[in-house]
Amino acid sequence: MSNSQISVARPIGDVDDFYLPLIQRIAELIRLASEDDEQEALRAESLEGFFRFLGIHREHIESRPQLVLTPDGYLRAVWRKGKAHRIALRFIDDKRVAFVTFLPDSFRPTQTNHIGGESSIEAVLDTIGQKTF
Amino acid sequence: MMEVAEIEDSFDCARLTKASQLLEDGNVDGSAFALRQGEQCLSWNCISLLPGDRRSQFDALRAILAEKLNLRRTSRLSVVNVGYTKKLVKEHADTDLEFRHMPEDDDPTHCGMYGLEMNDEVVQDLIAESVSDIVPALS
Repeated sequence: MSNSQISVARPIGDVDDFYLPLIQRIAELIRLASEDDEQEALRAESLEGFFRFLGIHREHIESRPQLVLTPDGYLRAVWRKGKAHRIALRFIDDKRVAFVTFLPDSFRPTQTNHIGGESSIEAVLDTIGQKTF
Repeated sequence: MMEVAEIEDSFDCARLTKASQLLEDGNVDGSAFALRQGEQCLSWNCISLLPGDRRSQFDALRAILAEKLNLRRTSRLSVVNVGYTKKLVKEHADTDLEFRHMPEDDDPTHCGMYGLEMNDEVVQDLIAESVSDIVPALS
């Protein structure tokens, strides 16, 4: 087993009510991609990045994200509470994420700030200024 | 040569959306509006160019798409109002989107959305938040 397989397998081995629906959704996305000639298959390094993220930040993640597969095969995790509250992370590989946040401005809560960028998986919570998801 | 119409701000357009880009709560994710490598524009269909009421327009569009694409039970049509989507994206991402009518022999409603750049996920998610309706792609 390669290093990447080991790091993905560790959290899967520790399946609980948080992880199980995520794993089921990932299996569904893999199946959907296999049935669609125009959809790229899930990239292994993106999947690995997602589980690395969970492994590092699990204690700060209060709600389970919704998962989608981008047309070019990246896993994207989305925490959405409405039009003005969205955090989305696209796992570029096992080290980097592309993020989008639609969040209320801390000084003017009626205003929504729309921000996008890239970060390391380790620093992404600091980068987007969120202590918990 | 098919006549090219102006896509007015009051018009509605729909984009075929795969199940893999639908959120589990039924909403559409911004990744459904991502340009792929080599694409200059995003394909849409202007349902306002079709005759009849909204139900008839959806039925006509489904028939058009079924002829040219392999539709699945899990696929959806994500509908936006052209003017609202352009306004939302301009206000929050300072990006000018443009819908151009690009009719094809087998698809007189085909449009291209221009102004989107590769991996501009803020714009993609703003488009997703502008979606007003999501309906099955197969009746």
